Amino acid sequence: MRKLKRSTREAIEGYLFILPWLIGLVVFTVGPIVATLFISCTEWQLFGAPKWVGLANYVRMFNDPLFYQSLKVTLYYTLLSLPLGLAVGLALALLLFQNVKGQSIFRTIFYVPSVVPAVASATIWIWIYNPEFGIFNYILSKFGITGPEWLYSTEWIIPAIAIMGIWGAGSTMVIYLAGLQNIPRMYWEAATVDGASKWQQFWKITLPLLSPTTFFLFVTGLIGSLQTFTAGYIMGGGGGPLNASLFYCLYMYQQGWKWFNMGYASALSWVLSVIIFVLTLFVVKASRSRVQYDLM
Amino acid sequence: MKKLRSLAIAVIAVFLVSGFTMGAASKPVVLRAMTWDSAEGSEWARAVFEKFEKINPNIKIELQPMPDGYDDRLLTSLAAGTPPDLFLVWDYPSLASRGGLEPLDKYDINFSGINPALVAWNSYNGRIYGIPKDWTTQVIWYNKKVFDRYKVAYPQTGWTWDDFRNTAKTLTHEGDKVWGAALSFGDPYDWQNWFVMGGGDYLSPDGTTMKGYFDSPGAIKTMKFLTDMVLVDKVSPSRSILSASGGTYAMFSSGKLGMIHSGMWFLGYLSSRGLPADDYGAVVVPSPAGSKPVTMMNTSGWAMAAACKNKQAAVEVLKFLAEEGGQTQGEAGWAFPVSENAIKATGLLDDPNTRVFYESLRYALKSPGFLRTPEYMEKCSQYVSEAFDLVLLEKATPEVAMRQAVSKSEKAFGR
Repeated sequence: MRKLKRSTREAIEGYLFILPWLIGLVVFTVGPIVATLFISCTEWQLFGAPKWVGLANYVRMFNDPLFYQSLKVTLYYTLLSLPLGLAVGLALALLLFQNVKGQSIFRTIFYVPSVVPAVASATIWIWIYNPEFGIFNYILSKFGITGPEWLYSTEWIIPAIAIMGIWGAGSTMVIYLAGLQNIPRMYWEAATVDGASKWQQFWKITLPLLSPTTFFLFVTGLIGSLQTFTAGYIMGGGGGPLNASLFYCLYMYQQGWKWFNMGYASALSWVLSVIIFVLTLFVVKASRSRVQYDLM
Repeated sequence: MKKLRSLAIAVIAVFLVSGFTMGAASKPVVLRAMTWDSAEGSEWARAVFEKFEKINPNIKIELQPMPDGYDDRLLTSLAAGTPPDLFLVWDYPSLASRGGLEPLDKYDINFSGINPALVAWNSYNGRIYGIPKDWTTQVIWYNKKVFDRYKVAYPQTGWTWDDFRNTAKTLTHEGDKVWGAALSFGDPYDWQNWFVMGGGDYLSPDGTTMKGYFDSPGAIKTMKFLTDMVLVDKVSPSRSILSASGGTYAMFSSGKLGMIHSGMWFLGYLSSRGLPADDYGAVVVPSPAGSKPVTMMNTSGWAMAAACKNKQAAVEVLKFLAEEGGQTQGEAGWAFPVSENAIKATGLLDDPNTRVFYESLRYALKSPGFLRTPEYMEKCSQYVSEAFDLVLLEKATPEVAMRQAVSKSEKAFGR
């Protein structure tokens, strides 16, 4: 037998090592993804044979008011929750970056809500938002404000869910803290010596040097909030009231699993993938000149 | 979602392989029976199956309780062609119309001991698809303590909608935070009988359109009657109060609510909390003056998968369930068994409350909306629910909301 070249042999060995993972990826991720592409071009009622319909499912979306509604809900939520989550996460990180007593205890306290399962925290927040007995409207009433109906109102349910998202800002905070620790102290020290105020230091040093972190959090947050499902499913009781919390993924689930339109649901999922891809690409391009990896 | 789906396929694949090895010759036939009850809740099913296994030693039944994600599990296994042999169903059209269920009327199964209304609710398109498991009608439960407190006479069978409305008004005492009746419009399912009583309906008997039914004067009148209790009379707590108070049952059993429209499960709720049932009374639903009541029912049954590989054995189990099963199922006393003989044996007819459920059976809605078309959820129910929301949120009058629901449904039906 001819002896294999060393590099070829190494390549084979390498692939053999990652084979278990590779099989998993192909069978459980790539396979189903390719399958949905096929299913999206069929009319398939979950059992029985799929019927080829070409692009009909994609065309159908143009005339589907619930498609637009779910897209609107999802984008509106993203627009509210993404900046809010980043701002609160950054603010918390800046506070906890100071040398205060019990720093690690505070860090833990602020991080804890992010490890609470989404379903559990949604259930807790249903209580907090209760217009009659909830603590939120109680606090507002102390300031003389009559709180809205929150989850029972078509106007307020999405802002309510976005505000709830702040609760999970702990993970954003941790990543921002890591980002802050990466900034060499000498920049701030030099700025202080030159007489820059804290405010100037934040805008000119901290924020620009955190831009890679912000960029990372922005992109992952964008993708995450476009895929929101649990909030609408639990807090809106399945997208209510009047589809005001019909998130895109929830609508996909309804079409596929409740109404047996698997083909249409697959088409919806592909459109979402394309939307996410385009938006991410846009963000990456737009931020290229704004993300600063080092001052020097 | 994608990850979930692939996981499900993997699980199915494993089941498939294990299914083949189990089917080896000379061993007893093993049938898989899936239930949505929890392990404790399905004790009755286990007892029935054990009784069956004793008589038929060559058939083993493997009971699979699946209280979480039952629907998703069932649908994926049907899609993969490896469903459990027997499983519980209530929404027959959506599975039967897609070829998932085996019609049972072509087998030699004796349905004569079962009330025809129950058989009808376990059928679709004139074919029987399930052996009814148990059933309950929905009645008006009333809390005697609340009635006594305000010296209001207990309702009597034969009462009218006006009586109901007036009773609710007299019971309501804002200062005490006591409401007359709860209308928790979660699912339109529970209210279809009211629309039929009022001279309307959700959709046509053949399930092809809502036009002329949901926008009929009778339906509009009913919608107004029901929602007026919240908006005008204010005899019903709002959704937020209901949700904050732990739901209808919690408010009702703590004396904050006078009446509820519900099934026999309420007895299960009471017993699980150790509360006495004597404080409550049941009465057939009221009807508009001069017309008969129509009652809503909840029932489910054991169905056989069209893809079942051991049909012969499965039919034996179903035969047994049709004739013997009822006895054990009714023993818990929270639902009625299906066969007339079993009903007599339970003593449920001697109890003044539980017998009302049996009396209500003769008024059961002939064919509920979901049995009329497999597309009920997508093309009818969601728009009914939307109409309820529009009216309750005071965004539209019943006329406008219902006309809009019909036009959306017409569009969904492709017209």
